[in-house]
Amino acid sequence: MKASTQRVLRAICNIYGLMLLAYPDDFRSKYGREMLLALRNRAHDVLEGGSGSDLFAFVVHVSGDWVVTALKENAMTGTLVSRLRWIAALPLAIVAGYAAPWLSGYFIQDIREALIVAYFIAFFMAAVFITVGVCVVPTRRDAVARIALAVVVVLALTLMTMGVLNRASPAFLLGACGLLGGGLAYLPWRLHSSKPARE
Amino acid sequence: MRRSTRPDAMLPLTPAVFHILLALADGERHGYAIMRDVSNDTNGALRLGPGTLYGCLNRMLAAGLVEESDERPDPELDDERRRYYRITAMGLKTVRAEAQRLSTAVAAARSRRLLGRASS
Repeated sequence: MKASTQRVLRAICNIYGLMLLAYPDDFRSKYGREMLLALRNRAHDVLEGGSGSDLFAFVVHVSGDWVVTALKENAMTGTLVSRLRWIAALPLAIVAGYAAPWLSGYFIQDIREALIVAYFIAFFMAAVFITVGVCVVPTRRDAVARIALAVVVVLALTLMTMGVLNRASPAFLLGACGLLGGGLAYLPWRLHSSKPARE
Repeated sequence: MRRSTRPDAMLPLTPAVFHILLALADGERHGYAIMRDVSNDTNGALRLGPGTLYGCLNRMLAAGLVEESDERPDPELDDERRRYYRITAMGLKTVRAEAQRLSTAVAAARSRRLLGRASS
């Protein structure tokens, strides 16, 4: 097998490994590894013998299968609503993050005070996002906390980059406050994790 | 899919469950071999994704239609992490009952000239 084909195969397996997180914990722990093995074999066959259109059809088929079966398995175990609630919180957090400086500037005429309020909002928003995520999916607190932290870090770094590029913008400090709040909310879950450390 | 002692109680089977049982009727298989057999048996009309396959297997295990095989493949010949599945006596009765049901439906369609004659 060519090195480029192996890279594509590895990428497909890595992406599918992440997609498996959408399945309920019990289901994933029981069948996740085998699902990945079956997908790897199928992808290998498609990449070895197929054309670009075969690969496209394979990706569409696997994606469709994932959407339908992840929803179905979650619905059957009753975890669908709690997961959807948390996923719905993500766009709300993003909107809140961008709305914070605007709203505080609207209500508080003093621009410096408005910015301080915005920094606090960014701090608490990140902390609340992680805490709410962990509370609505209590069976997978550690994984949810990690995913929520990743979302907060990406958003915060985006804001900080925007702040660095545009020196007049308060985005850098907003991002830094979000990062700090997210980090402080994440730490308790990390420190009190009941799972033993991996060897 | 509920566990039942009567095969008729589980009918009709979904196409995925029916074809998985057909594939296992030939002998024990691992997941990817089942996917391949189902695709071959249906000329590619039914392709099972990993989610559909293992979702069905999970419910079929609970219903007693299939069971996990204790034997593991030779590590030199196959990946020893794979789990193999085999059909149970109940699964065999159920797939026979479903095949009979489908055969009756096909005969009815043929008698109304909706289908051509069966090729020998």
